[in-house]
Order: sequence, then C-alpha cells, then structure tokens
Amino acid sequence: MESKDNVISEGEQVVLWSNKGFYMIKKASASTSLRMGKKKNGATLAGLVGEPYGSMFHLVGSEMVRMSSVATDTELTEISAPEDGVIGDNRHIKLKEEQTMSAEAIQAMREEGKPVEEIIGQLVESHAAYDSKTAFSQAKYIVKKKQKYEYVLTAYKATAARVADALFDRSPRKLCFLRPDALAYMLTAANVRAGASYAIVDGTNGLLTGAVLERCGGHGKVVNYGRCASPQLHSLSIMHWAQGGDSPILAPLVTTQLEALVNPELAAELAPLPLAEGTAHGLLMVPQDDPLPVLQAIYPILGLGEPFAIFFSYAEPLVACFQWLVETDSAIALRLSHTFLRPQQVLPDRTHPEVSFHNTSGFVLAGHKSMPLADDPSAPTAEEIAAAKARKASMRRTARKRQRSGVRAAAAAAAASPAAPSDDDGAAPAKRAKPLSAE
Amino acid sequence: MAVGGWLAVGWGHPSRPFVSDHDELEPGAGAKAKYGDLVVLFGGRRMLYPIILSQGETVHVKAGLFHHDDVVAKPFGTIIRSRKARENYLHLLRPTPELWTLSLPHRTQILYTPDISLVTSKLLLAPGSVVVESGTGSGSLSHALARTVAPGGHVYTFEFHAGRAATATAEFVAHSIADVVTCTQRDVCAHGFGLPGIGLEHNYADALFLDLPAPWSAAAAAYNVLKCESIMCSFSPCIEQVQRMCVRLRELGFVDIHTVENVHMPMEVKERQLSVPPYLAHGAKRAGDDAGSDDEASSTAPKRTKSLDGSVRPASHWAARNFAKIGGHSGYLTFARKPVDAAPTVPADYTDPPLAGAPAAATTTTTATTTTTTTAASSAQATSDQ
Ligand SMILES: C[S@@+](CC[C@H](N)C(=O)[O-])C[C@H]1O[C@@H](n2cnc3c(N)ncnc32)[C@H](O)[C@@H]1O
Repeated sequence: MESKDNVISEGEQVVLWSNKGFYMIKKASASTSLRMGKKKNGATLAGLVGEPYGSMFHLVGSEMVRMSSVATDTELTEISAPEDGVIGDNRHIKLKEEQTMSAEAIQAMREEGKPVEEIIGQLVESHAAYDSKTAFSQAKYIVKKKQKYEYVLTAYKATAARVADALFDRSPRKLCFLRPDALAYMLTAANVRAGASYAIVDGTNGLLTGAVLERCGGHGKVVNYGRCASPQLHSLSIMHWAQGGDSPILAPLVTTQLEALVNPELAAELAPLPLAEGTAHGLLMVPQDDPLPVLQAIYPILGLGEPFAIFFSYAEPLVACFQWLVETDSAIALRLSHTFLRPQQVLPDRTHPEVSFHNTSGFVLAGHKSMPLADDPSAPTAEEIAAAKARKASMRRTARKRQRSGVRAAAAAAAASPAAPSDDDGAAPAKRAKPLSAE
Repeated sequence: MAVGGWLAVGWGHPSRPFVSDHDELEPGAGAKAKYGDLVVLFGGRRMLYPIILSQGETVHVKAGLFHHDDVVAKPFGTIIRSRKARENYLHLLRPTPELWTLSLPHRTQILYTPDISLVTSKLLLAPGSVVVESGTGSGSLSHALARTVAPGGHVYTFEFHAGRAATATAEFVAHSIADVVTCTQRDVCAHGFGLPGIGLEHNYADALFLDLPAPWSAAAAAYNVLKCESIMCSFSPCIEQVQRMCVRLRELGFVDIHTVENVHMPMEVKERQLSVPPYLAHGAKRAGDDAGSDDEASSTAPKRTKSLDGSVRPASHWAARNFAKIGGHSGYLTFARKPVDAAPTVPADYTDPPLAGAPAAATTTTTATTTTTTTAASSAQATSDQ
C-alpha cells in the first residue's frame, strides 16, 4: 500500500481543495480543464499526474504546476501578537478603500504572468490608506489579495472522509444533508469494523456504503439495500480504492433491494438474500424516504443486541422511529442527537469561534436492538410480579413509618435509592431503559 | 445463513469483543456469551456494567444481584434476570468500544464517542493504519482506535504513569486486543515516540493523537514519528493550550492547522400530554353562543381533543427537544498535517524555542531527536510488556 498508491495517476479522481475556499472532485488528466469564475480558463490538470498526493499546485500560464506545500500563510500569525503588546487602533483609518491602481492595470500584470508577490507589492504601494491600517489588518489585506490573485489547489487522495467533505461542500442535498461529522458519528455508533456484516440504506449515492467498506478493509459483508434494481453508487466509485474496479476493499459489497424484504416474489427472484434475519452486526441508514417504514422493513435483519444508526435531516421522522422502537420495546440505549461543529480561529491574542460555519444539518438516532420484555422466556409469572409488588409496597410503608418516627437518614437513603445495592431482594424492577445520552 | 466462523471459535475460548477474527464473518444471529468473554450488562443510562464472565461469580449492581452463570449461553440482546427478584433485569450486550467508553473504570478524564468519531474520521483511519497515541489515560480512545485499525494496523500508545500503563496493558490483554494495541510507559515530552525494540524510529505513523497537558512539548517528536502527508490531532480542554500548540505546530512546519469544537447535543424524546383547554375546544361556549350548549361542552370529555376548527388533536404527542443542560464542552480538537514535501525529521540539533506563556518546565524540555539520544533514552524508559 506504499509509494505507488500515494502518487496521482492519470485519470484518477482527486479531491481538490481550492485556496478560494471550496472543494472539487476532478479527474487528474490533460483532458480536465478548470473553470475559474465565469470563464473556462483552459488550465488542465495534466500537471497533477505523477505527483504525490498532498501536493499543492498553482497556476502558471495555463498549467497547474506543483509548488512547495510547506506553509505559506504565516503572515497573520506573526503579526497578530505584537511584540510590544500594543495592538494599535484605527482612529486614523480612511473610510474609503483608496486603491489607485485600476482593475485593468492589475489584469495586465496578471496577463504578463507577473508573480503574485509583485502584483501585491504594487497594490500595497498604490493603496492610499494602507499605512493607516493596523499591522494586523495590513497582514490580512495581503492574505486576502493573495487568495484573490493566486490560484492554488491541494490534491488529496479520495478517501471516504475527504470525499464526504468535498461532496457535502458541493451539494449537501445529494447526500440527504449527511454532514461529514454525522457520518463519522454513525460509523462509530454502529461499531463499523472489519470482519462483520452491515445492512445499509444509502441515500447518499454510495458515500455511506463507501465509508463502511473503507472501514471494513475488505473483510466482512456490506449489504446495500437499494430502492431499485440498480442502486446509485456514484459517490462510491470516486473512492481512490474503488477506481480500479475490482479492489479487495470492494469485495464485501453486495447490492440487493429493500423491497425484497417485504415482497416474497421479489425475494424469490433475488434469492438467496445476502443476510438472513437477525444476522447483521450493524445497521446504518440515511434514507431518502420516510425513515419509519424503511426501518420497519429492515429491522428484522439486524441481530439482537447489535447497534444501529439512522440519519435524517429532520428530527420528527426520527421521533416517529423512536416512538415505534419504544412502543414495540425492541431497542435499548436509544439516543437522538445532533452535533454542532464549531471551528475556531486560533491566532495569538485573536482566538475566537469562526464567524460563519455549517450549522447542524440533521439528526442521528442510535441504539441497540433488544429483546422485548414480553418475549422473555424467563419472565416472572403474574403471581411473582404480584408478590414483588406487595413486597415493594410493604417496604414503602415501612420507610414511611420510619420517616414519620423521625429516622431521617434511613428515610433519605430509601427515598433516594429504593434499589440501592444493599437491598437486593426488595430492589425495584430496573426501569425500562431510558434513552441514553452520550456524554 | 450459515456462518462458518462461529463453529470454529468453539466453546471455552473467549471471543474477541472489540475486533473480529477476520478470516470468517463474525457470528451473527444467536451469538452467545461464554466464560472468559467480556460482556456488558445494560440497565440504562449510567447503568452499564462490563463484566468478564467466570463460573460461580456474581455481580451486585443497583438493579440487584446477577449470576455470571445465568449470562453464559444467552444470546446477546436478551434479558438477564436477578435470581432472587426475577422482576429485576438487565440486557446483555456484546461490548463495543462505545459501550466500553461509557462503562470503563475511569483513571483519568477520557475522550467520549462524539470526539472519538471525529478523530477517527479526520485522521483517515482504516484497517491497516498505524496510529500513535499519548497519553493512554483510561484507554477509552485506544479501544476505539484498535477496533478501526484492525486487521493489519497497530496502535502504539504511550503513558508515563506506571500504574495507568500497567492497567491499560492488562485490559488490552483481557480484551484480546494486545496484538493490535501496545502500551509503552514513557514520558513522550522528554523521550519522544521512537520504538527501538521494534525498529521504528522516524516516519512510521499514519496518524497521531495527543491528549496531554503540554502537547507542544511533544510536537517535534510527533513531527518525527509521522510519515509525510499524515495527519495528527491534539485534544486540549483549554484554549490557552490550543493557542500554544498552534504556534508550535506552525513553527515546525505543519500545515492545514485547524481547530474545531465538537458539541454533541443529545435530545430528550418523550410522549407529552398536551391538553386543549376547555374554552378553546370544539363546541366550547363562545361569545354570542346561546346558553343551551354550555353544559354539554364542558361535561363531554372527548370534545376536548378537538380544536376550534373541529380537527382532532391527539391526546399525546411524541416530541423531541434539546436537553436543557448538557455536557457542552469536552475540548478543542486541533488537526494538522505534515506536508508531503516536508523534511522527514526536525534538524538533529533542534530544541523547542521558548513559548510565550507556557509553563517553564515544559519549554525547557528537550525533545530527543537524534537517533542515538532517542534510542538510549527510550531503551532506558520503555518498559512495555509487549
Ligand atoms: C486525559 S488522559 C488521556 C485520556 C485518553 N485520551 C482516554 O481517552 O482515555 C492524559 C494522560 O496523559 C498522561 N501523560 C501526561 N503527560 C504525559 C507525558 N509527558 N508522557 C506520557 N503520558 C503523559 C497522563 O498520565 C494521563 O494519563
């Protein structure tokens, strides 16, 4: 899995981060040309081929050429904490941007192929208010201009996490709004690992399936329950390990139809079904449709005691699932949650949460499948329950009596923990498992 | 579906709870608990009890006294009852790193599942990855990492506290993951991450994670141990630590340095009774109504579930809301990447420059980076049992 795997090869899909602040997924090839702003600039991605992943490329003429990827954005950090401790103020700031260099002049310099540093030097010189800025805003000005006039791409290997970042950035709708951090949470909540079998309902064009496959590393069984005979798995095909076609990591993948779980004719047609009832070690769903009927159809596949995680961008349909699971008494450790991923700007003396970021984009319902109490062969008989109730009632009476007679400490203990470890016999029945909130 | 692997495991051999035996699919339906297995008895939030099953043993918890013998041969997901008070029960679960995180004996502050999830994803971990971690602490993260990098990968975790290192190692053995996780007792700020015994010195880790009080003192060593184009993460509860760490990471040449706070918001889901007040219910007396209908409206109960427009309102609703109070802050996660064309190691004569506001002891620590120093220091320090 060494060296050759780390070099971009011709025709490979690559996750590109642009210094303009967005992701792209493109083929590394001379036939891929980039669009910049409104016009196609004709720069191709030929320059990426043969270079290692993680490299940075900048635009030189109409070619993306590899550059050093060693940090270039140190201006802000160095400036931000002034040595003398005086931050300065902007009482003399001129209110208008007084840039005397014309847009045409800048364009001309760019067309001549002048290096960005030179253009920025000119911009600074012809900026009337530059000197009245604080050192920090001067540095910020330069960083901003650099971002504007430079075109830099970082090329990442298309691993599931990178593809998730890029796709969410481009078109969250196509992922049913599954945010990368929600995906990350689902993968751990459903205990995704090598050597186990997973049932998947994937409304993300294969991103979810791909992420599970990557974590299985070629071991186990990953069953995609599609809406139709040929499920959309476009996002899966982007993964660097899937691009060759027959990768060992793809081996655990089986596609089938959700409908086969409820339609015996289709089931017969598609037989043998990849997972028998109660055999999946985990269930992951990002449904495009109403989650409850989908869950009801696929839940029998999940093994008893095994974890599941369901993502949906609205809470209410997951509440309906929650209700069904509670009412049928078929899950424990149920928790509904969402995450709020807050990026921070960290600079000496200028640390604060970023001004804008993605808010929550959806909710995850997670839990473990459990045996309903009513199905328990070892359940106590009606008499036993009645006897236990009587015992408890008498305990309560004694406690109350004690309280009345002023034995405060004993009463407090009994009230606070009626099922304290010391009184095994009279312990209250363990309550129906409450939703578990992760700390 | 017939699952061959299950028969091969056989009775009496504890199964591996956190990683599977990969040649065959793990047992699915009907997987049963055996003596020697780690299982989790689940009674609800804050009522999770991890136990290793052994003959004749009992466990005494809030819900009562439970016999290990009653757990053995029960399928996961089923109900275990107390012998004396049979109405008391717990659910039997196969342990997962997530359940372990919620039930493990705390020796330190630990990382919880929401942060662990983000770290696992952003460090791009998968089977085969080699991860370096420090400190081991209570092993919460180590278990989750082991789960993800197996098979073929490895977690090298470093802890300078002798007791914690020993307990973690014992747990890894008891949980049958000692072939995936190695705990080494070492002060990583002073002696780095070199593993002379295994022939690993520089550039062997695919990812690295720090949860240390002074992570900047281990940053140069982190740089050395990471492969180029690999990612590290540092977890710190306080922003001052983050700030110093970021300064050091920039000095060392890490790129893509960014910090996030992952606030996990659990929600309360409940069935709520919402009543329609009599004066707003369908048929209620309204200004201008004639007096005749008055009695009827207030005495007929079912009408109260109808709204003014006659539409039926359910007597109860299932609804979700954010909990009023949550554990809202765990820590900041700072990610950084060692660039692909970076120098493989920091210069041999590198010493950490002083860091504004950092505790004196931490800034004076020299990070051993030359081969000879590290090897000498490490062999004196490393007391790994692996
Ligand atoms: C907060 S705990 C880590 C918890 C861990 N992440 C978990 O999830 O269980 C921090 C640990 O780092 C250890 N530690 C602190 N400084 C260290 C050093 N210089 N070298 C090695 N370990 C260190 C401490 O002993 C402590 O156990």
